[in-house]
Amino acid sequence: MDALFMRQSARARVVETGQKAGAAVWFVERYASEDEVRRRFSIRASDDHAVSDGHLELVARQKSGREPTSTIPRSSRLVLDTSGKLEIVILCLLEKLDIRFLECRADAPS
Amino acid sequence: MLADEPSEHLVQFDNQVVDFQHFRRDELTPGKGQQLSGQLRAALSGFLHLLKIGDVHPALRGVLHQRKLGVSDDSEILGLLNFFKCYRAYVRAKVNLLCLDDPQISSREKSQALITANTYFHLVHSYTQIMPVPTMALVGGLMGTGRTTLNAELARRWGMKQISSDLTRKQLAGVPSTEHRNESCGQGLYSEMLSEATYSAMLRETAESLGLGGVRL
Repeated sequence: MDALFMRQSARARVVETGQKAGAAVWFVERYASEDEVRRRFSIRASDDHAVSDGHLELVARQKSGREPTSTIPRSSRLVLDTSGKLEIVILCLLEKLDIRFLECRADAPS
Repeated sequence: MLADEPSEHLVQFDNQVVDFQHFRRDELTPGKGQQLSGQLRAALSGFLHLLKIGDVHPALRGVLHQRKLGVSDDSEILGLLNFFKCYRAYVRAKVNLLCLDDPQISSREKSQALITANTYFHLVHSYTQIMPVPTMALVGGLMGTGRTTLNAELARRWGMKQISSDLTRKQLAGVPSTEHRNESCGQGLYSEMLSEATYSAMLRETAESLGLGGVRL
């Protein structure tokens, strides 16, 4: 599921829904440099298939209204710099998830 | 020569990723008058579009032959495909690693081969993982950080259902998905009311996917 998840209440509702189903919940938080975001918006503007309406003014407003994600437990939170190539980002994410899976397994009662 | 990029032969069907390399076209043609299920038709369609000349493992060839004769059902083929996805991904990872010892290959190409091999090994790993519990990945971040791209890639790799806020928001507002609205935060598509409705709709879809239909959210 991808969304802004600016508000803690929005994040909590989703987590609660997952917990009701006994699901493992991972929160993957992405960030990118301002130059990279500007570059992506410029590409998107000429892409007829792009769905997102992102533009810099909207991002600035979102930044100021965003509630910190530090309330999410560290064990469920993965922070990724997505300025690089998608393939590299995916590999970083997979490696982080692998580590988390191993940590979860190590923490689980035997 | 370097092995092809992973994306060239990997195709998604029925929420699974399949490596279609090394299957022969004639193995995949249904017998005369046979009706294929939608799931198998999708798999074979992917094969027919992407296959290259190569050998098929005798075990898979046998099942495909039986399917032609009408003595095997689709589930048997799909079960075997799961095994061969693993096998092919492993072989392609290994082929990329072999490039590392080749003095004719530049260091830049070797770096790329290592990344590709790593991707294939992760793919092999993902094929062998049966998640013990349902898993939700929430991809957050500001606009332009590539949330939708990563979300789509995770859905493709791990066979997860993809739920997009951009798409849900526009569907609720009756706006075509590729129509751009240059609206401010708190206005129009990005009003508090529509944002709230978007999260609620996404939650309903999530709950249904997790088998929680009817739960009050």
